[in-house]
Amino acid sequence: MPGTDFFTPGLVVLVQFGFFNAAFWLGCFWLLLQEGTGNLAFGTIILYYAGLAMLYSLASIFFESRNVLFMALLFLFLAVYKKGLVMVMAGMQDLGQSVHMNAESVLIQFAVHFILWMLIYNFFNKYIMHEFVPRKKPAA
Amino acid sequence: MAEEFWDNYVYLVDVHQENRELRREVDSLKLQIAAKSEKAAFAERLEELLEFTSPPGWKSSGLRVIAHSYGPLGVLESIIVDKGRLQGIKPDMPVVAPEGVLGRTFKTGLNFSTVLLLSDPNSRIPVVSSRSRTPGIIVGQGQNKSLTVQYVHLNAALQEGEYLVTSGTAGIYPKGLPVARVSRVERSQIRLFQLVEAEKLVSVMDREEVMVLENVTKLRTGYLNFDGIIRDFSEEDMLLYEQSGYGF
Repeated sequence: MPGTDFFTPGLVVLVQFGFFNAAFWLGCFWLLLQEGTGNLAFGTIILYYAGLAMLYSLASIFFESRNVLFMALLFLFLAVYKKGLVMVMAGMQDLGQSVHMNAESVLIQFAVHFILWMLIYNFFNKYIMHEFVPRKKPAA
Repeated sequence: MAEEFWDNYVYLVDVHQENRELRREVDSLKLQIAAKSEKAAFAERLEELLEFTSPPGWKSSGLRVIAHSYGPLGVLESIIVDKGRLQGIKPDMPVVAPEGVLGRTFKTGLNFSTVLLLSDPNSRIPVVSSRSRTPGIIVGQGQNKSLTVQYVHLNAALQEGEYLVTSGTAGIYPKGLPVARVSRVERSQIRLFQLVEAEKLVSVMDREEVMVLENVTKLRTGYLNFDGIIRDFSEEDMLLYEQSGYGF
């Protein structure tokens, strides 16, 4: 499915369980991979992940970040945000004819993100760890 | 009785082992046949490519299709091929198959390039019809959709079934390469131009190898600026270029 992102749910689950370092490095690796395979100039995925980080941080101050409804709203917003971002960036590179805001692609992206998040989150919860445990640095 | 026992039991002790070895050999031979069939199909495809004759002043070289559009930023109708800047590929080089035009190179990496297909809505190719010589610009409408031909005058005698070939006026494609076949022509009183649809001649999903064309004439329209300044060309070069029949 060209134009569809599959990596974001993995990053969100890592952040939800407190694996911030792993999320950062995997995010950097995926960013290069996704930028390299795309047709647009470098920078779009950086803006996308920056938007994801900002939105998640802000929203988790006010809401319970593991709530299913919260995640549904987050992924819905992300699907619209990603489409809008790609439209703007494609337009700036004179490629705007190929990208249109259509409900179908937004809903496909939302469904992919949400279903993948449910699968990964439940897998993590069942087999790896049950809840977020703050990992403190050992005292010197 | 003893002879029967010998033939049916004792003599067959090694048969199981032999059977296993033969089965292993059959598996190996099956793999070899698959590899040879693949090679034969590859040779056939290369033969087909070799039948293509480059237009005068252009040199063709083969490219292997290594990927189609993918990833979250795969917004264009495009393919990725296995040659890039290190192999002499530059942006805006025509990519063709023996049946017709596929598109042009768009982004070039060191060893890979992206080809913008003619089905992408950003692709525009100036064409002329083969019989009535009607000019127009062929524009993509996306995957699995027909192409449209824009700016075809209402009086133009364009007919369904005509082939559209490159007009050579954009400076990217050589003149005369087949691009599409007209599938629908509609004349309307309320439009300034005819509504023309065309079908691609090459299906990119079927292609594993394609060709890129390089302009080897010394004068290229890409070198011309809008103010029409021609730099670094002698009169002899100009004369050669005019004789080649590829005008601006």
